[in-house]
Amino acid sequence: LQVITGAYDEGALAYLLQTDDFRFLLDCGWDENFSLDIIEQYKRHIKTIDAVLITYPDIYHLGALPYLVGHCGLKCPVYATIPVNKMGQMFMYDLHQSRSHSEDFTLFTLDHVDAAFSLFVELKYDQSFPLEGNGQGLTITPLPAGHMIGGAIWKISKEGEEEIVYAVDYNHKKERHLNSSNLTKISRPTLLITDALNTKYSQGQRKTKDAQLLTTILETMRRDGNVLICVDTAGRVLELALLLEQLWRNEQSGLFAYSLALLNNFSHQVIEFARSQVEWMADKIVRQFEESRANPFQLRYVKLCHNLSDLEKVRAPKVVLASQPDLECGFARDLFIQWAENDKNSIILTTRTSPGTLARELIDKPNVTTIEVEVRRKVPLEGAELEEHLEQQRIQNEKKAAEAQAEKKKSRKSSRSTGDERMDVGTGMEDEDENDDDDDDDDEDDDDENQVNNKSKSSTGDHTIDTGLADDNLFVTSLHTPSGTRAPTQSPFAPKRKAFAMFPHKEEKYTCDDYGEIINPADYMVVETKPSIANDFASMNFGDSDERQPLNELFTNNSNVSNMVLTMMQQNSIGVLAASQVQQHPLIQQVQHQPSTIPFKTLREKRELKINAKVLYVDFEARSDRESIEKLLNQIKPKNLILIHGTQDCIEQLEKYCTAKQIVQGRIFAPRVGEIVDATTERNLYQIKLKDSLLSSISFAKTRDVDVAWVDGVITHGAPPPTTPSGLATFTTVGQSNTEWYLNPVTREAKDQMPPHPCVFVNEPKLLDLKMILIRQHGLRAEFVGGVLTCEDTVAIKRNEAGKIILEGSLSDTYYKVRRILYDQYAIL
Amino acid sequence: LSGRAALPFIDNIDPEELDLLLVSHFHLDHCGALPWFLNKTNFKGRCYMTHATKAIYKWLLADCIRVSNVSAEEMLYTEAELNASMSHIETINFHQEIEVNGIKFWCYHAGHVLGAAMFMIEIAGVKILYTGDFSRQEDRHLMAAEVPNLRPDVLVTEATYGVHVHEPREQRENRFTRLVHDIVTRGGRCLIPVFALGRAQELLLILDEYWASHPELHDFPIYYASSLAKKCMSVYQTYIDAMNDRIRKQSAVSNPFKFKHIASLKTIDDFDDIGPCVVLASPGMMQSGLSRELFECWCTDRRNGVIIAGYCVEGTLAKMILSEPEEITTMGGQRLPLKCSVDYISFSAHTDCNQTTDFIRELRPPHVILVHGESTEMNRLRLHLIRKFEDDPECKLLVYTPKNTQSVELRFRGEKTAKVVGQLAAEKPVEGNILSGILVRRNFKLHMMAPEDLQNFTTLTRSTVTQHLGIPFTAAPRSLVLNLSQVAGELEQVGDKQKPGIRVFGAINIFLENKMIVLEWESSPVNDVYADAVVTVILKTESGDCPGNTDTPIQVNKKHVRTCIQETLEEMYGASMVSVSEDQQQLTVTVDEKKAIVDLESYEVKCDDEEIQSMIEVTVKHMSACIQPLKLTPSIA
Repeated sequence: LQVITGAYDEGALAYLLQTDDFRFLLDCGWDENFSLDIIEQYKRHIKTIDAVLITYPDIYHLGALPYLVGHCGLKCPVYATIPVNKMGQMFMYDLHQSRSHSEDFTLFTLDHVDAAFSLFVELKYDQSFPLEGNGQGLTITPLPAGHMIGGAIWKISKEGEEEIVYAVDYNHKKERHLNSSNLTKISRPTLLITDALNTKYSQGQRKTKDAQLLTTILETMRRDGNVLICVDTAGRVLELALLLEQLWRNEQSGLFAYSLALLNNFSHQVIEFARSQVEWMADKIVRQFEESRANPFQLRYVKLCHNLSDLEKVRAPKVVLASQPDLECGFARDLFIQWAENDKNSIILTTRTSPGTLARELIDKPNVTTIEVEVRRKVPLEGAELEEHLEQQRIQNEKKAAEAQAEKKKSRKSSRSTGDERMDVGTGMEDEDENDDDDDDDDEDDDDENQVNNKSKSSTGDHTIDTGLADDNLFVTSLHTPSGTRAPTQSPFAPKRKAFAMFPHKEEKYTCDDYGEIINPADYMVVETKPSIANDFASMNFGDSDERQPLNELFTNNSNVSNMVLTMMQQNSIGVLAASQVQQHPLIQQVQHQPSTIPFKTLREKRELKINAKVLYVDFEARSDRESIEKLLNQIKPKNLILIHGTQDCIEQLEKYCTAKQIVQGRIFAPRVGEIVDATTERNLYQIKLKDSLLSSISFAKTRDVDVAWVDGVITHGAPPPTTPSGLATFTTVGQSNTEWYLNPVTREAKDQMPPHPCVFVNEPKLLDLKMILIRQHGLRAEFVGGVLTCEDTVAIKRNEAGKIILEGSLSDTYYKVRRILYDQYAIL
Repeated sequence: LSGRAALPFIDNIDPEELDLLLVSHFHLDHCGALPWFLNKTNFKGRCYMTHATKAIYKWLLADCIRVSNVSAEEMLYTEAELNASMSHIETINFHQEIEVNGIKFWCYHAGHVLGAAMFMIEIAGVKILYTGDFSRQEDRHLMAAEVPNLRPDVLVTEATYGVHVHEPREQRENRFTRLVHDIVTRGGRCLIPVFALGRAQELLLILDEYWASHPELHDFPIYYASSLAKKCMSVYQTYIDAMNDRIRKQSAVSNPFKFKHIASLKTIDDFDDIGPCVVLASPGMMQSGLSRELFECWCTDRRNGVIIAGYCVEGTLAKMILSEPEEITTMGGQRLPLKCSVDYISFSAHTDCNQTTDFIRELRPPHVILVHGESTEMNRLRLHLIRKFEDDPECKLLVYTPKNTQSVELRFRGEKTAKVVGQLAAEKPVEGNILSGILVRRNFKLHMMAPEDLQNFTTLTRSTVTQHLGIPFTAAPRSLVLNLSQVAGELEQVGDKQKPGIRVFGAINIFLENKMIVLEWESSPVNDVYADAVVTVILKTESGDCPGNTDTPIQVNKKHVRTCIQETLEEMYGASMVSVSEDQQQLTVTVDEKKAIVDLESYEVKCDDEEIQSMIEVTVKHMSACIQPLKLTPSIA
């Protein structure tokens, strides 16, 4: 096993596991900051990976997949449960959209996401999936893990004997919408890979957490404030949505007068998928559905919103569930900035994201979570270089003013040409995506070179039509058709491709369309009044495109420029829509073009945000805590243990615990990033066929649910004698292929020469059970005296320190009787 | 048939002996008696079905109870019992493996209806595939039955359609939509009697799609008139993952079961019969109910049309009108002229002859058992299959068509294969080596291991039992030692000065404490016998009637043994047959004119005949073992 990321920290998870010649990548996570260090780690191994196993659909567990598939050529199958596949897509789409709403995001595109998810092989819980090729003989099985819908614990077993279990972030507790993990079913795996993240943590009572949430919401609602609940896209949000829905339904809670909204880019799809995944949810929900056809995600009170303007239509005061949970991007961040300064509002964080993110900072500074709303706190939202950055921007703007003017003309031309052609193509959405992308490319070229002639532009236009048509056909089969023409040439690091980021805006509009969102022409009127400002603004920003900032931008109220951006942002998709529908109008066409060239991300401003709103952390992570992890480890008793994911303290603590309790027979490892640990165990195993003649001579003794017998046999090999019918099944033996070994009965002579085998007592009866048997079945008097089972006052049975049973008594009939009963409890071989 | 008479022949089995009850899908002929069986018999096993089946099962049977016109006493079960049965039913997802008492089973998609499953059951390595009703043809919302990638040993499959071959899907769908189109455009009302669940949904999908692509038809309403179908629509909207890829992709955009052109009709009273329309109504064979009522209203107008879309049983109105009679009899006894058009398009999602043949060709099971079908059709299919696979050398097919209550017994002699694990497997197997260990049998799986590994590989534990037996003893210790040495030969000194003791047979420690002798040993059959011997000696010594108070142990000489053997053999085979060689070293025994030579020095026997050799050998061995002093190899527990 080699750790790629996720050792001694709390971020993403990814581990490389090699069994024999087969290499698994266990999870494929990325952090919120998309650090390329992690990618470097991946890249080294990318060619050797044979299969990827995914546990949960969030960014920490599959975030790096689109990048790896899109840019590094990962091609192996990815195994996951159906919900993980579906919800994983939602996670990645939403993440991408959230990012590109606020900045130029080019690390991966939606096409890459689609490409990544096309590699998925969907499995069900408890489905054993035999691998082929290198992995012949290996079987992988996902087991329910709780935490998020479809969450899996992976069991990799080899020929039914060796078991490797990869269990992270599982939840031992039952929840509203999910069953608990059934890790307890696993017994004595050869190797257990588990996390130590929560060993210093206690999950707390569900009731108290629910109550905490309820009181906060109620208080805020009553003082006419809004509540922002930061959740993920499609995982834990389901639990919260269900909880809130139930609260709202409960008339006594007095909440139904207020509004409740779920805001993320794909809220509609997420809930739609959740509705169709009832069979993956808790028993209670399944039963409810079977008995009364009540689909829990037929949400009555939760309004689904796809953007901020949708949200505005929801009557305040309102409770909003918004992504992303880390507050690094997405609607949650926008709302946070809007609402944090108002002391009527409340902000509820539900999960501890990795250190360094805004949400985590809020959690870690507990003084904010106190009820004193007055507490003022600086939130360093941006780097210190922002001031000078702004300065630079201004200078550049002046410089480029003239160039920008010329540029505008050109871009108008180009967009008109493509626009005309687009009308021919028809109304297929894919076409527009395609065209717009290419438009963007064109503009990019303009920015960088300022010397592109019109000829080349028109040729691009032609080209666009071709791809557009091709994609139109594909559209039937796929939601977002990967456009093959573009992907290969694209390198995310080339600054050239800057404006590309606007492509997703259209995607968003596209999804809106799918869901029949009615486009109100009145909305576009607003855009039409502003095009000149937008133009200036756009050109102003062009100069900045060389400067790449990996993250975060922020709008401030102080700067009127950013104010404008904010409005632009809200109208952005609308503008696009308008343009695509009324393309004849030159002015609007211009507008259509504008949003796609505004690199929003260039606006970075440091802003001191006073958090007047109440900030509260209520844990809805649903991961096992210390107590349960320890209890589970005690039950599972893995032969070897690898601890990953968690701070140094946590791992050490768990390691100590395991050593102290002697849970692990073999070794415990706690590898660091990049470190390779060798957990190979001496595997002795071969198969042997038992001759009927041997079997008939064996008498099995039964103990509990197992039959045992002592066997002596002579090994022979090769083809069976003709009298023995050959079986249907073929077996492979380890080490020696195509040789079958047979065990024959030992001949009499040989048997006589053999020393008698040592006697083996199998089973370990409990004295308590024995007492019951003595009393109930044999009518003997039996009682415990100081831990010793005395029978008829003459015979004593006790257990010494080493666990041996000692039978004591004086010579009498009772003695022999009790001895016989005691022997009955064993299988004596 | 109704009530008890409609039950399967359950008297022939003992429900208590059943471990497992698997229900393939929600049709009445597959699960109709389930509430009765789960509540009113002594069935103690576990019952499984898929999620979708369970969800629909309840509503379907509740509907049945409601519409059945049997008296309360004759009712097999009540609604309360149906609800109670729900808690007994466990759910299984497709492909999910479940193990119950060592029986492993999982299910594959079967097509047919939503949630229909084929069960693969594995018992002790023998795999049985029960298809239930299945269809190998993909339709609008269901996938074709999967072909398992394992080869089952027994295939239990349906023969409903016998050697019949279905019309290709495209063709029948075209015919259907054209017919509907014709009827409504000629101003007629189109009645499609269907069973509420299953095919009805497929037809609705077809119609909704057809309407969507034909705007000119939008004025003609489509209704489905079944409260049951309406109730179960949410199940269809939910279990998308059990359907085919097409639906699953579509559902990412919008749920295909939220129809755009189709409305549901609660009762006939809500229905405004004003003009051309399409109505899907249950029951499918028009025995009674809404479809019958509508038919009686409409059959006199020649513009109207009836399309029979499913299987119909002999004796029902649906079957009758297929022969296009002049008149029909209403439920009220009136006679009405039949003027409307009647068409039959089979949308039945049962496998046909070709599908079954292909299915068998891919699976190549050695045994095929045909069930569910009329006996003549079944036999025709049997002959067809046998003929088809006659020339196939790879597939020796045995086809069975058991009658009701007739059982098919197949015997499998699967070779027992054990896995050798742990220390025992440390050495690679070598020809002729002896392997000894513990064989553990659990859930039909065999493992062989060294006793020391028992803890590591199983949940079993090894334990030891130490026995302490106290015997009152007052006689002289010396005489005891003497007597013991006569029985056991050598004695060892054990213990320390405070607690001196002796050890006999290398296993039993004897201590003397306050007029009590305490024996200590670890239990094992051999040691227990030794202990009994020691106890006897002690008791004899105590009572003082010990036979030999001599110091000399018994001396045994070779001569004595030889004489004994000779005498024994003479008794066995007759004195004349046994002769001693001159050097007194060999004995010759003649049995049936065959000679056997016994070497009296090494007690080896030589003879041409193996049987005689082993016989004499045993005799000689036992004799010498009896007479010669024990060479003890104590048992170590």
